[in-house]
Amino acid sequence: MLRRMIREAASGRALLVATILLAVGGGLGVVVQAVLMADVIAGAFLGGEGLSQLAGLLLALAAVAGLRAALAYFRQVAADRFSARVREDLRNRVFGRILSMGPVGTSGERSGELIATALDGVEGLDAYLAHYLPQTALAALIPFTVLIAVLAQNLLAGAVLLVTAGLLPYFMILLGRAAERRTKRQWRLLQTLSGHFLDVVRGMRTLQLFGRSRRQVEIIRKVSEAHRSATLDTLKIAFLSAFALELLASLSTGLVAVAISFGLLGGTLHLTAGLAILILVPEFYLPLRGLGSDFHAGMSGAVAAERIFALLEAPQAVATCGARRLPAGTPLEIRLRDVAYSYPGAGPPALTDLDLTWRQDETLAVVGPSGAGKSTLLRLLLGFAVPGRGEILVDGVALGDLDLDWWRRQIAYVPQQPTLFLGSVADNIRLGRPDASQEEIEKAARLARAHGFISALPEGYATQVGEGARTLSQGERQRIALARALATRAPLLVLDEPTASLDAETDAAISAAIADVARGHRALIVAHRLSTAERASRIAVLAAGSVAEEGTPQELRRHGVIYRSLVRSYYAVAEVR
Amino acid sequence: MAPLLRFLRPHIGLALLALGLAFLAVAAQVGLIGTSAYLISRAALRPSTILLLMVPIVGVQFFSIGRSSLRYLERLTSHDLTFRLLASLRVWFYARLEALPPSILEHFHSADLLSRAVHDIDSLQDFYLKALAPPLVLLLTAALVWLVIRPMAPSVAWVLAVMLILAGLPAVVQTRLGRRLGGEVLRERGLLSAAVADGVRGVAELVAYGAGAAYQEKLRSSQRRLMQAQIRLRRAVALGGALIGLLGNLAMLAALVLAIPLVREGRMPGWDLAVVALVALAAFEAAVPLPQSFQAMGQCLAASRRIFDLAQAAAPAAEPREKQLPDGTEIQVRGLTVRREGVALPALAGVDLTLSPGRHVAVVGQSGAGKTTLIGALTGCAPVTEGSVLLGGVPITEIGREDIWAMSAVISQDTWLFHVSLKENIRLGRPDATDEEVLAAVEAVRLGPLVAALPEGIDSLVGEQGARLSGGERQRVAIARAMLKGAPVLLLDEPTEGLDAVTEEGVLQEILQLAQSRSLLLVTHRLIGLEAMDEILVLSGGRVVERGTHRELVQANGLYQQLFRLQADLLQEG
Repeated sequence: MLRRMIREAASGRALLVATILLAVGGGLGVVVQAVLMADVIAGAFLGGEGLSQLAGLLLALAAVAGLRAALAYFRQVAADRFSARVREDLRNRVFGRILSMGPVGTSGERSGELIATALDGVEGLDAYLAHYLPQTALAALIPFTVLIAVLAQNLLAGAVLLVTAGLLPYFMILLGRAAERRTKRQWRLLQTLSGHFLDVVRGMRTLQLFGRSRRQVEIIRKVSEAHRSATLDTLKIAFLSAFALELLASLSTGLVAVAISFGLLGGTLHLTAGLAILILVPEFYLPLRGLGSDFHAGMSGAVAAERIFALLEAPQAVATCGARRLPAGTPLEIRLRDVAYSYPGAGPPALTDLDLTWRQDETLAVVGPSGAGKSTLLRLLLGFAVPGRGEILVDGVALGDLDLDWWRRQIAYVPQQPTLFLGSVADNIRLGRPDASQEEIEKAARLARAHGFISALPEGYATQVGEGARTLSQGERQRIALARALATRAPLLVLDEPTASLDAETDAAISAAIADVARGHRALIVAHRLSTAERASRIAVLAAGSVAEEGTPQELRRHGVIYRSLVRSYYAVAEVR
Repeated sequence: MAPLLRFLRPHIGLALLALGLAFLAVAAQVGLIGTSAYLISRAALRPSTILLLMVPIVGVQFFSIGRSSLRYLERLTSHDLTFRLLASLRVWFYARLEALPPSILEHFHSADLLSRAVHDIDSLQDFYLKALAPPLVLLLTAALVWLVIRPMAPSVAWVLAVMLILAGLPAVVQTRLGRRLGGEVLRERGLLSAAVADGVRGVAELVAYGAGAAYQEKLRSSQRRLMQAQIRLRRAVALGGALIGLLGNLAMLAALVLAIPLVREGRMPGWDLAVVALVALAAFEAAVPLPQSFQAMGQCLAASRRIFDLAQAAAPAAEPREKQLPDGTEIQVRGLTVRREGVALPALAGVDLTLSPGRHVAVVGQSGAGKTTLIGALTGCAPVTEGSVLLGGVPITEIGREDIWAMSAVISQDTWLFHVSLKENIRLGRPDATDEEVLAAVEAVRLGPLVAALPEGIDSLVGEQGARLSGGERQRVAIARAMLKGAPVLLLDEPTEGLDAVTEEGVLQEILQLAQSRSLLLVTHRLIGLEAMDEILVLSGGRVVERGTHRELVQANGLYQQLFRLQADLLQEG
């Protein structure tokens, strides 16, 4: 994990090195300070010197103190910058990865998880990067500096440090391994339990209506109690490694003190050296103890890092991307031939032997019950996924041979639940064509029947929308998305009609906008309203992953078995009339 | 801080124990270093017998073992306290919230104040461990140092004690600074998280419109701004830490400068010099966690203010003094008017309605017509401003809320799916239902194929807020839950929302089947399947503008006919 993290942290390596160098400088400052202190004390105690004789040493001591403070400050600043740099880099890569995965890997449940990974997951690395990682380096370097200094003065004291330092990793491994596994599990459990409370609080209204809300008080108490005792059991072991560390540190401080005193008694050691060693001994263990107290940071960081690396490393179906572009004005007739597709992971195939042609100058409606494969069809068409079998031909050229960017520029796409990005309404409309002029934007908005309500907004086209800013109704968002599609002036319009039932008036407004647009464009519409389907020049009825019925609305109303059942259930009420 | 301390009171014994252990651990450290310095200094004088050194040697070992054991016990105790504190905060917050009037709760929910509150509670668990304990330990340490050093050199003792307390000063300044910079960090973080969330949810559009690279650039600069704000904040923290280190070294220097003349004048034995200097350094270890502690204290206080504001935003819902039980299951609504605070027009005005067993009533109208408020009034969740709602002949205001809720099964627009198994979610309707009964409900809402396809069948987790299910599936789980409850009254708000046409028809049939002998109130804006209803109420602006059966209403020349035509015309066109 550690090695992996350092490798990933390449972008901040200079800062990490600076952090470590500053820390080593601080370590040297400790040694110098110890020697100066010992000199002053020994001079006053044994030499009987007064302030005037010691003034030089005392001033030097003050200077070292100032220098150490400066080094400590810059070390922390460098460590924080290092952490910021690495997090910035990782987050950019995570987001790049999300973009390259496209909607197939990121929709639905995954989206919440991905947002959490990109935000909190990366942020969770902060303590790991800013404290734990430099601390690990310190734990290797500072004790080494101190050890050399002590060994130069007194072999016995040095030997005590060496032996305990040798024992430390052994203890750490022995206790750490056992604790680590349990703690990691506990850590996840802790997140889940914290999630449980949030879940219960947010679902309180539901619990109340089912008469279960008061009983939850007792459940929360019980869950918390169970969690407490389980966590404490783990901590008893997890803290043992810190205990062993501290015990070794303080025992050896004591041993060193005794060793020094025997050296002094025997006359083999001078008080200056003895005091210097005593001052240095705690510094020898300090970084190691720091490692222990940053344990939680390390733990949660490791868990977060695992999730991030798993995301960055997940195997990815690379869409084969050719380089061909078709000349302008080409008919762009699209043919899906025996196309089959299954989503990665379990589950039945989404499409099986789908055969469908979207001819030049026709508006094609795709209808069918949910799960029939309508959305999958759109995803394949947009190149978000590649057919497992069969092929998609554009004027006889396989989609895989086409330049994907060029191909996507031929399509204006309106998803079922469009996203408005943080920014102005105008920015949102010009998403696909950043250089669109204000007139072009307004023209697109008029066509999408959005100009009216946009003009009525407090700042018109400059009004800020998106998460956290002004919230628009679903009908309004839908129409802005429609305007966005029209602003691209792409020859093909691919539209996934919203399913959510809006009330009749809003519904009528959107249907009318879609109808307007479909009249002037060559469109492929996944229709959830029969009214939309009925306006198309041709309808394809999908069922269980392939085309079950196909024809003009009139033909299907007469002969289409599935289509007629769809019509009937939609307007069951019509029979009464 | 007072309300937070109140939560500590039930655990006061544990808190004092943890505090005592933390202090004793620091004291042992001071003792270890001081005794060692004493030992070495005495040894340097080469006493005639080693016996003189026995006491300090034993003392050194005693302190060294004591320190680590005390630290270990302190860690366990303080974490125990932390978890207990968290548990009591959660229980208190939940119980408090649960008792609030439903309308307030609804507001909290829609404004998403609850997630933040839960997050705040999580951060309050640090209150003792990270915020409260370090300054207290520091104060105790200052007292200890004063006591230990005073017999050797009173002036040094005073200086050290004062400087230890002064170590809090940089931390205070830094907290001031941190509050402003912290606000900046929070703001930038909010912007970034909105941008990331938009980007992930809208990934299809970004890719399809070739706008991915541009958006990534936008994220990059948003992120850079966050990092810069964070670094500014951290600089203040680093400065605080460095200043405390400096102060510790200056304290040691001051001790030396004061003590050296004393030694020279023979007013202090020379061997105490090392003790004084090293104790000064050791004692400042207690000041190291201080900057963090003030930061944590600021966060805890802000969090607690938000939580207490929320929990005390309104008085708990008034319960009738003498609760009555409804006599029967008939619901009578007479001249019901509901006014919302701060809204001029009533949400409902003069509504009359009777729901008796076997009677099926639909309420239609556009969004904002008052349909949802009507269900709220029937479940005691919307205030009755004028008129009356009688449940089994008893005014709803005289019935306990749990008894009101026991009477009806509700599907509302904020029906929640919990992150437990599908089975547990459905069983919420009736906790003592057998597996067979749960499965029957699953079949009735046509979730059988889904259950068969799930890896662990009906025991599969549904994900947070039911994220692993589609919108239609979630809705059907809610219906199954309501069906299982078997309450005499069914109040359904847009139950078939999000279902495709074929499923919708089937599910509606099942609901009507189930409701045969029960009262049913169906709120809808789609005029589908309404011919089977005994009565249809057309709401507009909170008033009943038309009522009658489907047949009567399509013939009348009113709003219903208009809505119906609009819907039918969508089919006729093209």
